Amino acid sequence: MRPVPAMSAEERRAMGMVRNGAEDYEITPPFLSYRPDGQADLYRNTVIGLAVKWLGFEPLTSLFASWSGSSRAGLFDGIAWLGIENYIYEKELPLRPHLAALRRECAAEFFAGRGGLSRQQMMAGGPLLQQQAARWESVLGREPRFVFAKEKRLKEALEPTGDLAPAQLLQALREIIAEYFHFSDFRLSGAHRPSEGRSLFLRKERSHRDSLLQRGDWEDAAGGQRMGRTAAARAREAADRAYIEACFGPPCLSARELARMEKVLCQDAHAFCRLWVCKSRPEHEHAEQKEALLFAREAAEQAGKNADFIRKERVMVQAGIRSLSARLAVMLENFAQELPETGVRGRLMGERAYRMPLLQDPAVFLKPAQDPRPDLSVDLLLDASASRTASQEMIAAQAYMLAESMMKCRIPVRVLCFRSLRGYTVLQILKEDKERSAAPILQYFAGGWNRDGLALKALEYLETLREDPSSRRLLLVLTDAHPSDSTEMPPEGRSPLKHSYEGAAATEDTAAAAADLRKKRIRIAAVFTGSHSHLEALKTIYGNHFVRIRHMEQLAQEAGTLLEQELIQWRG
Amino acid sequence: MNKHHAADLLDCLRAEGVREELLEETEAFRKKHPVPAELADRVPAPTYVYYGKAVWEKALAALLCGENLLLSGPKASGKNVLAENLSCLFGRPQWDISFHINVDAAYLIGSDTFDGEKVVFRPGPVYLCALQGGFGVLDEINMARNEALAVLHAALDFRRVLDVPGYARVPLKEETRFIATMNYGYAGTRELNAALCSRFAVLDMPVIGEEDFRKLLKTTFPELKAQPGEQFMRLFYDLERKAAAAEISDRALDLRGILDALRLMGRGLSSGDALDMCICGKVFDPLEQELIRDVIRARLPMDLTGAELFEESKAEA
Repeated sequence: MRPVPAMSAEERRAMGMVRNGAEDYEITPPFLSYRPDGQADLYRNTVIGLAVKWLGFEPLTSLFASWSGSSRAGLFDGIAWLGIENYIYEKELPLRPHLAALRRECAAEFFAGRGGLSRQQMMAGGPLLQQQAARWESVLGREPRFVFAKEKRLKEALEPTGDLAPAQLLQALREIIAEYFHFSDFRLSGAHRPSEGRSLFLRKERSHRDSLLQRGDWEDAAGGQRMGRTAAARAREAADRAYIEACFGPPCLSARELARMEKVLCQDAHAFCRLWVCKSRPEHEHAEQKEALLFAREAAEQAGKNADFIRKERVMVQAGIRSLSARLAVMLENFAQELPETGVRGRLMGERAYRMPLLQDPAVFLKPAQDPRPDLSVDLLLDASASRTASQEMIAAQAYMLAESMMKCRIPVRVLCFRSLRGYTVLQILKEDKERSAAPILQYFAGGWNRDGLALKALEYLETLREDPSSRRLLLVLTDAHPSDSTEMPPEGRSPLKHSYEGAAATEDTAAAAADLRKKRIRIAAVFTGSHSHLEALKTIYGNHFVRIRHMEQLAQEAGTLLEQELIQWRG
Repeated sequence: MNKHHAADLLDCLRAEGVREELLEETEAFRKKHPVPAELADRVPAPTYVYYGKAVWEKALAALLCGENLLLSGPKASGKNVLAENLSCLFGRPQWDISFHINVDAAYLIGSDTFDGEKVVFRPGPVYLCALQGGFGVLDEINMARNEALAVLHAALDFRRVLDVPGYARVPLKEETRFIATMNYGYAGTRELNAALCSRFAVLDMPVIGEEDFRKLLKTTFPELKAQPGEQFMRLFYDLERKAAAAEISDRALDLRGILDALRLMGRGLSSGDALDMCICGKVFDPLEQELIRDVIRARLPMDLTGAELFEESKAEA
């Protein structure tokens, strides 16, 4: 079993197996398991899911996090899973009798995959392999042999019965790790090891001047140890990535796809940038990092505020949704209404009926129009930079209203937000277009910088990865038209100096990215909620394709007008 | 497959604990409105009984009060089973009217047609249902455009009349009822407008509960062994969770499919083949099929046979 990697078909299967076992599709699996041929392992993944079901997500992930900083974390993980497997098997078997057959298959596969190794070689292959071999021997009804009594005792200790309480099991596993492997520091490791975690984050944080954590006393803490230049650069890079992953979760693209995307997009003005595309996370599983914990707490707090705002303003929000969806419905009917045509079936046209007996013309019927739903889909892109901090609830509510209105008209709508920090432009998918609920949008929160040009390019790239692209796509950007990022642009022309991504240069870069999108037949328009001083930049980037919203009450009316304009131009 | 009749249904409902006065009034309704012989074959004899006391009581009360019913619920909540059960229990001929995007007034009420000599009126199912005092099942009503349904407004509200342009004004018979079904959020569906909604009593149908599922299995397959039966039930809920999380489409969430698979296994197919045909085969994306198979494999062996499933070879109520 290994930690969660990026998504592929087999990974999707593995995730599905875990979530099915957990009976909870909200979780991000803490581990995934694959067979040696790369296929998702049904039994082990089901056990991982069942472990979440029986032990709870938080206690389980806390257990593994408690030694994740150790160099022997892989060994401890394997040992703990052996104990958990036995416990889960006993708990679940009465409810899922087929588990016994799956377990035997798993045991048989274990030995089949190690055909070249004798039993003695396996026993000599380190404590984990030895204990695994012993477990699967027992499952197959064979008696494992041990050289030392201690090994046998460990095997017995790793067979906890199902009548233990979850907390007792987790404590027992910690005791096993402590007794047999002499490990005792079960504090959340990442946050407690200066050389491995926090100090590197802090140093990088200061050099970049940006952070998702806009509050908190840790920012003034001491920096880390000085390291050699190359090692320091490598460590910084690793720390940046760890920070981004801890805050936003794993990327939803495979590592290869993400690398390809960076190779294509992180050029010219974005040469020093990295990309991260991920989904929103209802739970926070990187709790071992203090920054990530604080981040999760702030994000959860903001999500609560967003939800409260929607509740408080529900009359206005619902009225807006009703009004905009009604307007959209009429627009869409007109937009794609096909005219009825004559045919050999349908409604009889009295005035043509004579043609049938006289002219043997069967086409005397009126065939109704086809389904008028247009092949249209919409992306809502929310600027989630720190400049939007003061109006987070408002932006979340606007996005929620727009998405709900469109969903009522059966328009697939995907909602993303973007921000940049530590050199990464993070594109976070809050709501997929197939998702039926707009509630995940309320997880929106603001923090970091905004490299609009790169975000638009990334979105354009993501379009190329779609399996079922609509012929008509509209991108609505909720923005303050003020692109600005701490990661600089490379030197241009003869100047040896890098320059900042802000002002006219950033606006032009964003305008160029928007123009590229239009060339790809993706219409782009803006819902502007920024200050008067950025109107010029707004026009440069979006031309006339924008509306300015000063109050929430305006949204339905103004957004309706904007969408109408876009649809009319499309038709034209 | 055994068919149920009004008397069996009444027994089942009494066993379910449905309020006796509702059942008595239903019987009185049936006696008051006998079915003409030529329409007797339109009175359904359902294969499945709908289980759910609360839903039954609400539906009976609404229909006895002369209301039309809108059954709203997700896939596999038994909307059509309940509609059929209600027609059977009230002893009314049933017209099934499937809605789609191209449904229009002519399709519902009737249209002109050419009989070789002259243009004549060919009545539609709503017209016939109104005339004969039937139960009209408007299946997936929200697949149609709202404007196409406007012709039903007068039939569905207190006026209880169908005005056929150019022909006649047909009053609905006293015993006529309309039962609409809809699955909100299905691909291709739309929001019902307020005018139409207000003409129905809306009944939210939950997905079948575990206890009712067990009863359904017990009555449909009396010889089904408890333990594998339980696993088939749990498989249904595993798939329901997966579909609710949008990991697979609704197509695979098929209660009928589960029952059909059991039936096929009774005929000698292995569980793997039967579930492939009745569940996995209903989606066409290979990855989605694989995701569904993973759920099945985590719950059931692929080589389970009818002999292991049923007490005596195969047996079905």
